[in-house]
Amino acid sequence: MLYKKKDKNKIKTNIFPIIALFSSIVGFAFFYLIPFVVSLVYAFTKNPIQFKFVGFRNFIDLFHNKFFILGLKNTFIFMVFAIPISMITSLLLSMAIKKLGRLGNIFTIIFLIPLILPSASIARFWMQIFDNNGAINSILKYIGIEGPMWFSSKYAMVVLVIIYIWKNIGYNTVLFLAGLYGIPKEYYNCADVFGANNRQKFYHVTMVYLTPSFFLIFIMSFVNSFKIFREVYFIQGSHPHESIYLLQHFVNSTLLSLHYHKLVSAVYILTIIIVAIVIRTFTLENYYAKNLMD
Amino acid sequence: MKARKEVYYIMKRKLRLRESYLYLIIIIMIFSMTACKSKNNRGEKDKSPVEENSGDLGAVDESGEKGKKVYIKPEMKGEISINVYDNAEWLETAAKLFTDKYPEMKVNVHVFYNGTDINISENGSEYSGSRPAGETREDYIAQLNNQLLSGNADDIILTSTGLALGKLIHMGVFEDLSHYLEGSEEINSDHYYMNIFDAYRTKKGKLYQMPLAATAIPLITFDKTLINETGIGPGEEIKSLSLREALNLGKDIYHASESMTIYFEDPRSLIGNYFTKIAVAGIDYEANKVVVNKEELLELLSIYDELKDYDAPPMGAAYDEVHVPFKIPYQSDVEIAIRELEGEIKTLQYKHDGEEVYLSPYYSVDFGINSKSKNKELSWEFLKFLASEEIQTLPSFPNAGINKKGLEARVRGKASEYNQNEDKIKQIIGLVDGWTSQITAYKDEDTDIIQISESVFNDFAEGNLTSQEAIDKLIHLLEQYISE
Repeated sequence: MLYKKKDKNKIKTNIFPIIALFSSIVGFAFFYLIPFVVSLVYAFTKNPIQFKFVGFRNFIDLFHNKFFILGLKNTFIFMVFAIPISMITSLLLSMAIKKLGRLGNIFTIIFLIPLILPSASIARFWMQIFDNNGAINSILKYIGIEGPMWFSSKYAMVVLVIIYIWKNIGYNTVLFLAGLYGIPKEYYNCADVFGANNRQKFYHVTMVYLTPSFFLIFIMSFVNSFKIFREVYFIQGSHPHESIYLLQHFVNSTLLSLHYHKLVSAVYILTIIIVAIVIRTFTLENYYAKNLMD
Repeated sequence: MKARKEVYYIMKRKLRLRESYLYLIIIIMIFSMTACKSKNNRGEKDKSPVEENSGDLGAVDESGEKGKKVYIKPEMKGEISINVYDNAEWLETAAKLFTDKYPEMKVNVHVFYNGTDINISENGSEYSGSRPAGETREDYIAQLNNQLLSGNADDIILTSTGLALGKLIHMGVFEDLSHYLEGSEEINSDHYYMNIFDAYRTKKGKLYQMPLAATAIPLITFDKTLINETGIGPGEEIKSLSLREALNLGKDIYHASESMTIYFEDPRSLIGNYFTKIAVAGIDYEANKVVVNKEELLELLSIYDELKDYDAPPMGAAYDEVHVPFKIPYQSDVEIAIRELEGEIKTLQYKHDGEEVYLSPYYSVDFGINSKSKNKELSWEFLKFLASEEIQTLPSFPNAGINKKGLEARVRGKASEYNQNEDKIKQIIGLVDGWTSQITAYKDEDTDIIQISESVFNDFAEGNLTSQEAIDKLIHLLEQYISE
């Protein structure tokens, strides 16, 4: 009885949020969730024209598909470099901006500008910078070095990482700043009392209390890392250099060529990986947050 | 008591969760066993969906040979639909004539673009412009793909529009027309260029397109003036040449000629076209792999490097003083035949892969029958009607060639525009007929492959890639294309 009464009270207090969220949930379900679930049938058929059941064969074939593996590998490599570098750069920037006080707000706004620019403009801008006869190669030529073909060589990944960092640094910086401002000054005062130097304060106070922000920024960076596909697509189209051939290229091309069986199989594998990483991140965060409160 | 009840509910929920996991594992095992079974069967030759698709059509013939498909002409009663991108005046006329002939038939012609390519500028002059957004060829292909996937595609589909035809055939979108053709005795070598039907067959002998129109382009033409001056040229017995053979002859003529100012045509357009043909020829959809002839590609790119040195006329040379040893012209076959008869040029068929004489897909009008159509036999009857003399001799018919009388009518009409007399017209017909009869191969060129090969070739031509890098990049992109 007590158990059921508790549930009733819970529903009563939450009735307004439920109503407010209802339209969004319906829209999400109708345009994303239901099509996502229903499309699973394609993953178990030979192709969308010949609807022959083939079990898990499409998933097995996917792991023998050279370009799916290439896309997966490149996406992984991109994330391994882009996310940590972006987070570290943002953290350092946020610490520097915090020290500037009010003047730091101007820098925050400046760093947030790339976030609001359209992807096509960003792609165009960086194409000019890294073009064969662009600004970078011109500078290199001036100092006697022959610049590579940035977008058509193994250095394309470097350009991608730079674009990602440039675009997302402002957003991550703002989140870190919020985390930094949330650390009570008393903890630093306490550390001073115990004779901690700057490095020790950073590791034992700042890093510890920024842990929840770290996890949040990691998840946001992880999600945002997939959006780099837009810039890559604008720069190199459906057939980029193999070093920047991402998983979304594979997904996009299978959609256009009506290979829905490959598309859905790849999307479900990607979803499983993303969900697993996000869930693991949340569980780790809960663990660390609990320890923090203790 | 209450606490015990709560614990009970919690334990019950956990047990249900574990049961769900168990069911999920069982389902996965069942699916895996199914997949394993499929994998075991892969030891045999993997049946393509195309072969599976065409296994249940037709009836067993009188000899009792099991599985042999026989086409039986249906009762001419029903409704069919046909889908084209543009330029459908002849098709609408043909549909009307067909329904006049068979009053219980109805033919719906769906035209994607009904506008005109001719625009009027502010000062009243006409110019050709690009088609508006939403009505381009890419939009048409996107719409067609949606229709195919949703099962709402028309019975007959125009295939010569830059579709990814190889992929669509491999997916089983189009019906195999082989047994329809075999059962149609009226389509024979007396009235039709059966070599073109054979050219359209896949490596396994299947026919997924009904060719309705063809020209003998591309051809290679040699400048007769230079041949007469130097005494160097292709012998009378030679009817076709490969690009390398033509180039060697051309260079011999170039070096032997003293009085004429000569150069080779822009090698980029000359070589780029054949680079694409080799790329297309290298895709094996059945085996899902790329088997591009690397030696031939290297040869082609080395030809380009050689031709680059010859591609500009000397400064100050007058246009009419400049002769080109050989060309692969973009004129119509009739215009080329006229120039040959007037002694300006000597014409040969272009030989590719050392053996095959290619039919250019740019001038073809081909249709396929939707494998999901419920009116395949009726659709075939309509396609046969489109290939008949009655339709192929219509003035509005775009190009011609599959029906011999149709080709003759087209050539006659075109030659009359050049005020040719009856004897000359007969000779022109003879020449064009000879070239058309030599066609032995056809390769569809889907827009994506064209874009891939053109981008790679342009990179090579601009010096961004070496020959080997260009070939490696081409193979990589083609592998990507068929893997996706």
